[in-house]
Amino acid sequence: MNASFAPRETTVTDEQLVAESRTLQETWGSKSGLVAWLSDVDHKRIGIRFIVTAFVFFALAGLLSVAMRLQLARPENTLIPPDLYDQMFTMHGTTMMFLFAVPIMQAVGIYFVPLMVGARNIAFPRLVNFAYWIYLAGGMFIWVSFVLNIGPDNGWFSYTPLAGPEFAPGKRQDVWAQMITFTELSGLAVAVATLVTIFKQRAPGMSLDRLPVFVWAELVTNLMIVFALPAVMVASTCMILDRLIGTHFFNQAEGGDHLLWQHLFWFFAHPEVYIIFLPAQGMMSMLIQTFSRRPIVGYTALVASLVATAFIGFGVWVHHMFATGLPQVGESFFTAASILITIPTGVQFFCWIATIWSGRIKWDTPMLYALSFFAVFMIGGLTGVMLASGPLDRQMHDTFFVVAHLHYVLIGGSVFPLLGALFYWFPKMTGRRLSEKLGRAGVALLFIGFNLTFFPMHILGLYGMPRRVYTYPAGLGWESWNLLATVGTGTLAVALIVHIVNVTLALMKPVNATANPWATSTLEWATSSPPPAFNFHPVPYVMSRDPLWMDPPDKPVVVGLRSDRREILITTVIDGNVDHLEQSPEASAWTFVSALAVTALFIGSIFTPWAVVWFAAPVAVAMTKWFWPKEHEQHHEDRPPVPTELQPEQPVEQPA
Amino acid sequence: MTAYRALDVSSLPTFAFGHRSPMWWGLIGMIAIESTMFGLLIATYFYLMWREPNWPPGVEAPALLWGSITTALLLISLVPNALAKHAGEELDLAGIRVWMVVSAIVALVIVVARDRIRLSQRVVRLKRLRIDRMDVARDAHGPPNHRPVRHHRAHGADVHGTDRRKALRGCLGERCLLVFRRGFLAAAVCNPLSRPARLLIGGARCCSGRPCSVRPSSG
Repeated sequence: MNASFAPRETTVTDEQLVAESRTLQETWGSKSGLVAWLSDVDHKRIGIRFIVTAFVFFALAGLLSVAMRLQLARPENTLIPPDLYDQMFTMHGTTMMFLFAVPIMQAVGIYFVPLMVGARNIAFPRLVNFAYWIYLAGGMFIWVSFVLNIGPDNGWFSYTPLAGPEFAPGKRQDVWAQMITFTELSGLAVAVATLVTIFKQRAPGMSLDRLPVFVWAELVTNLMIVFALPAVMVASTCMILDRLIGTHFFNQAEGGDHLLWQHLFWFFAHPEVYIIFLPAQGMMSMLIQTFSRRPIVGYTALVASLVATAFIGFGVWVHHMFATGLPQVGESFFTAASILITIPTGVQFFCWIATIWSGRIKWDTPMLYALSFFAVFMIGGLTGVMLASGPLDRQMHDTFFVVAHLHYVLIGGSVFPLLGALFYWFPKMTGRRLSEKLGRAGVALLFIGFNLTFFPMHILGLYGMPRRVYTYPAGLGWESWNLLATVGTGTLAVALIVHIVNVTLALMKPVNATANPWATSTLEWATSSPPPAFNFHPVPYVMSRDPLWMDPPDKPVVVGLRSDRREILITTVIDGNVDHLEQSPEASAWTFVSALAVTALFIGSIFTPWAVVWFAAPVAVAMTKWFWPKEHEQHHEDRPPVPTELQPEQPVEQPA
Repeated sequence: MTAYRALDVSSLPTFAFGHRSPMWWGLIGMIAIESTMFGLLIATYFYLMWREPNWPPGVEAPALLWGSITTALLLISLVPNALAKHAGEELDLAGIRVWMVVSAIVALVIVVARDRIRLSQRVVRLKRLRIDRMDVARDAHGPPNHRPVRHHRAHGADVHGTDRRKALRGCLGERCLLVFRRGFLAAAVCNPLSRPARLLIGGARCCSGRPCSVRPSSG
């Protein structure tokens, strides 16, 4: 151990910090101009782009659902022809799952994980910028195709043989399968960047057991993404090969198997439900802790539940396939596994209830979202237990009961916490506060509209109405329930308009939010609202799980990072001790060019396999330029390299 | 003027190797993603093998020669990679450049060798194609671009069946080598496991079209 490499205790004055902040702003601030905009590497700006884009897709898919509900409002309606209806429900499900739910949960992580762990930027920011353009390209690809009447029409899970070459000729299904490749590439890239940020870029002193629950949720979620998304990439690639170059992975007549598609797809898509749900649980924990004004109860139990949910979530995919004639043993096993997953979810519920019970509740809008979550998700969870049981599932399969269940789980379990969390984080992102009055009206309308829309679907399902039908005959007792659901959809649309109005009005006001308007405990509130380009100066030092509540006021800060370069502090994985300094990369336009080249390759390859060969060259050139080291990134001249054996993993002394 | 206590980290090193470096973790992430993909492809292979022991049906497996050469080359490629790593840790820039280039060349050679596997397989296909063409000629219904084997199946012709019987009669040694080529380890590990796995995920139906929990032994 060589003492000269250990952090040294010193003092720093306000004047020094202010002077350094100016240099930092020049070093870290995004440049103006189109090229700089396309190649931005500030995680906050990319995060906001991701969030806004995801909400645009959410709105588009929402409009489709309004149109579908209008079609179903009365029997024998002729508003939407069956072929368009097929495309619409496929686009609705696909957009909501692949272009809204998963990306937005990662996007909130892109914005808030670095802030919550006290880092100056996300790890691999160029990769994250690349991921954004790939995501946008994939989303635009499928939506432009839909507008041109080549939208996919086989449902969001595209079962073969319906989606295979025999029954789905033309390009529609290829568009779907290739959109999957886009979004999964993007999702995997963001997952790795987020994971490395959490592992290696935490503020000194932030050991793993001091991570905020939301960051734990993002950690677990992104690990799930790493192991689940490859399944759908493999599946969609096999499907494209089947459709375009005549392999027979899913062709029963040629030694393939239709059920293989379902296995591969659900091996991804059931964990995906938890990929959407776990970050929302993390958000719930943040909201409940802040608005109960006390640290969360049962931190360890909560984190263990997140991890347990992730593990069990990989073992339940077959419960989507009970109606395929599986062996009895399998059905029982997966029923048991599916019911097992209620245990960690239950533990989390009890931790939250205990926190609320022993805290002093503030009835702000985000808390109202959190409380709505309890009611809505409870219903969705209970119908989930019903559907997880094989015999009952045979009865309910492919009816509106399933539609009701999945909307209760996904909207109740994810959209309510998400909207609450964005309401809560809005001042941090924009420096402006949303109106409480409009916020409350929004929650109330959303809650009423949601239940009006989806509760009747339970009853419709029990009455036997199948899902994905473009119309139904009169006289089956379905009319009034369907009309009620359509009225509910109208209410939901009004609720979302109220949200948009609230955001627009707030953005027209001047920046006025304080650093910590909710008086809460996590690090993102330790910096100004909105945060400067470099997030923190000085870099915080963390001594407890709730630094803004529990840390002593005279705790030290961290100084010594260069302000004329994008220097970031790398800490150890478990304990969060200081380890070494590295440079966060500058913006590079080649990330955008690479994204364009990859887009050309992906889209071209559904027309000819040779596109993979032709476009490999531009992809290789763009990525080589992207990774080419710049002259000024190679300077270690003023800091001579240190042989490995001399580099300490020295713990920072805890100040007395 | 307010003064704060501060920890000065300016004397820390500006890079580190191994698990201390974020880049290492990024690569682990990529390896995890790729391994998951390969794992799923191998699982897919075994899943399909349970329906069709010789998959894809009607196409014989490529010869062992180029597959074995590729495996050997893959193992050999560890050497320049390890030397590049060593040079990096010694801060020997010239050494890194040399061994990186050598690693890239070995990778190119592997691509060529792997392509030979495919070519050796194509020969088999061409041989078969001649028989198939006769079949196709007899049957005018089928789309011309479909792989002709489809027609044997569809018409109950026995070319495929004959092949299978031949394969079953094939000597034990050859059979063992075939298993070896398809990943001996994977076969050895997965076969005992696959029985309970079949019970659990089931799904494929017997050729008769009835659901069945365990496929009748495929010989």
